Amino acid sequence: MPDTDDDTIEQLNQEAYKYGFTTAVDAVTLGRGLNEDVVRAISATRHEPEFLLQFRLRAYEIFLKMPEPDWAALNYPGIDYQDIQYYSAPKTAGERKEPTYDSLDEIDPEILRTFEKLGIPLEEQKALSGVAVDAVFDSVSVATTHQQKLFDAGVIFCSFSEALEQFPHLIERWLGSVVPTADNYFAALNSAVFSDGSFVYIPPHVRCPLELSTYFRINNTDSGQFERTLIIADVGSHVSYLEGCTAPQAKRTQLHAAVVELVALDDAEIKYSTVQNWYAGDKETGEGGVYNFVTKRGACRGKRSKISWTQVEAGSSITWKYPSCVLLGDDSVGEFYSVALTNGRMQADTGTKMIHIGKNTSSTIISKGISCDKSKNVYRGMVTIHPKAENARNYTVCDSMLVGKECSAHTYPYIDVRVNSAQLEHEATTSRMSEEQLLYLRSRGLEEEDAIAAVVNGYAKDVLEVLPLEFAAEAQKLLALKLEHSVG
Amino acid sequence: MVSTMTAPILEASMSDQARQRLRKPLRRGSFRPLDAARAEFGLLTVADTQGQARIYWLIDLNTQVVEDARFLAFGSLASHPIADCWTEQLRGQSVEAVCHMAAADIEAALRDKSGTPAFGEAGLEPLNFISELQALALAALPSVKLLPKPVEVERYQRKREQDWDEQDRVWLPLSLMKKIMQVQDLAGKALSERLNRSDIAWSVEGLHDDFAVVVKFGGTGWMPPEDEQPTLVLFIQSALQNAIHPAITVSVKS
Repeated sequence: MPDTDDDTIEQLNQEAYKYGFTTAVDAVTLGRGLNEDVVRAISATRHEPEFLLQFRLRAYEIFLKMPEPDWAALNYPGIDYQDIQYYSAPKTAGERKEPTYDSLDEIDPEILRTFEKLGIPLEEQKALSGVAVDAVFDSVSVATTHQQKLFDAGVIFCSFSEALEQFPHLIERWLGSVVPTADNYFAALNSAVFSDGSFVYIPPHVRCPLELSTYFRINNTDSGQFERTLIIADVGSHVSYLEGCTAPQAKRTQLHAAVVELVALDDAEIKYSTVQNWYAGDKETGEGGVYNFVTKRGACRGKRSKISWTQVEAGSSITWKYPSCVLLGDDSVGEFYSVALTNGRMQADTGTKMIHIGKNTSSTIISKGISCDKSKNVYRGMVTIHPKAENARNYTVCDSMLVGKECSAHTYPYIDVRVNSAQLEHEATTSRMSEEQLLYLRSRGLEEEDAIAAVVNGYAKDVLEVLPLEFAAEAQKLLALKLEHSVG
Repeated sequence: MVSTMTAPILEASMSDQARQRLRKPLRRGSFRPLDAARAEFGLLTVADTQGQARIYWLIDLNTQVVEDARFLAFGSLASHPIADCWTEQLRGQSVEAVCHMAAADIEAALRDKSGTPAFGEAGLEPLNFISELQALALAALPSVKLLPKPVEVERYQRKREQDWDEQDRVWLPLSLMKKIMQVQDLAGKALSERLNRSDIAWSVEGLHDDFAVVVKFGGTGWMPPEDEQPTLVLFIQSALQNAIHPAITVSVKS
């Protein structure tokens, strides 16, 4: 129990970002800076097939020619790409060789303790909750549990490196098919230097028996994290994928430029959920923190396919991402549910793109932004309906909540309709969480924390209720925790 | 690159047999090196270059017979029933015979009783990847080795519910968190009573295999001297065994 005010403050500080610790682990790194040699070294270190080296080199060439985008409503000091370590992987206990993990016994116990601290038990207890976990530590997947159970169902869930080793031609077929290397600046960078991530393949007519989960942690404060996730849902299959992220506190900013590609074939469904809690930087000065520049896109290639993005963004100093759906197949469905909370000096320019190409496609966008302190929260959405997308439907809600007097919220909806039979609905609201609101709730006997939680949960209900149960409880607590001491 | 945009047509043109195997394959799965080592067989695993399937064969290296087989398919829709049918057929046969099996025989096994072709007008084309797998398997066979048999470590196996006694019925159904809470309460009380103080710096680090409690001394509060800690562990163990379950053991986190 705290004895003094200082102890109370210290306890709260620790609670505010309890993941801000660093694990002292020997790591294999490739030094700072980016050039063609680094790209080749990453490929060689990972013993990659030739096609992937050529993929990386093409991406690097494109990256060099592209200008860095500056159209987002974000202010940040320029990134020195030569001051980042592009590869960092923990060494195995004992041997100085490229880590390969056939069993949990081979993994550095310190790494396992790190994940236990984060509440990610890789032991058998996890089996009781029916979740298979792929934990990515810096650039390397540390362990994938329950792989055998999934293999028996025909489901492939493994690290990207393992997929390259076991199923290289499957990777070759799909890699870059949804997010090409030239798609954008950060996708090109990721394509050149990505070193690991997750790969999922669900065979036809299979409902994945477990919820798949990946946990990303940047441990090396000098490195960036450039993971690549690829999920293929074959005809008639179904998968729910959960993603969580943290990083240690550091004075340096860290770059997270990931790429996620989803492919859904006929009658397939992919549900992709994210709870993002990267370190957001110093609350007062904004120093440090993670720059979360991610390209996420799903392609509904098949008829009656469905891709659903659900995200709770509560961290990172700067968030710049637009999980999107390309609705190619007739009768396909795209969904985007998001709660984006910014506090301190965080900035978020996030939203989605729904691109309707097939007939009778429909999309739903529910975006809830909460801005606190001196943060900036931007929703940027694009709904495009192509001339052949007859009978397309879209429903968009983008709401903003302002908490405090110095925060800001902006929305940039963009709608481009090229067919007469489309129907679109767009709603937007802006509101404030005020002291009066909380006073009313507290006068009914609620503590301040519970009052904040009640307001936020009610506001974000539409998003929280579509989160998988595992994440929903965690997301509610995370939001309430982040909002503490921001209301006033 | 195999086009999957024709998939619905392909499934509709499949025979009932093929469609059944597509939806409910019998031999899907994989083998790990550990499985092969336990069974004292060699593990042969190859994948074709068109991204259709990967096969896993357990081979008796003395007789060169495929004792068991599994597959993972991830290519065209047809790759799933084809790989399933072939995998089922090859068990018990020599590697040589398996690698010379004709695609037509596999296709014939996928036809319905009426003789409807398994894949309609596509004929034997969907089976092209089989010949590549056969060639790769023959090439990989000389390098298949017998791995050392693993030393089996006895792992905890919870008793069947029918065998539970009264104490098991109270303790085992509890969730992990509830078990830990109970341990914390009881052990905390036992330590406080014994040492006559309430600020002992200790915590429960974990509870494994239902009965193995791991404690840690340290943190805020009074730190027991190191030479006294083993005795305190015994106190805790005794208290928990009396109050909760006699099978509980307590150890200190190293």
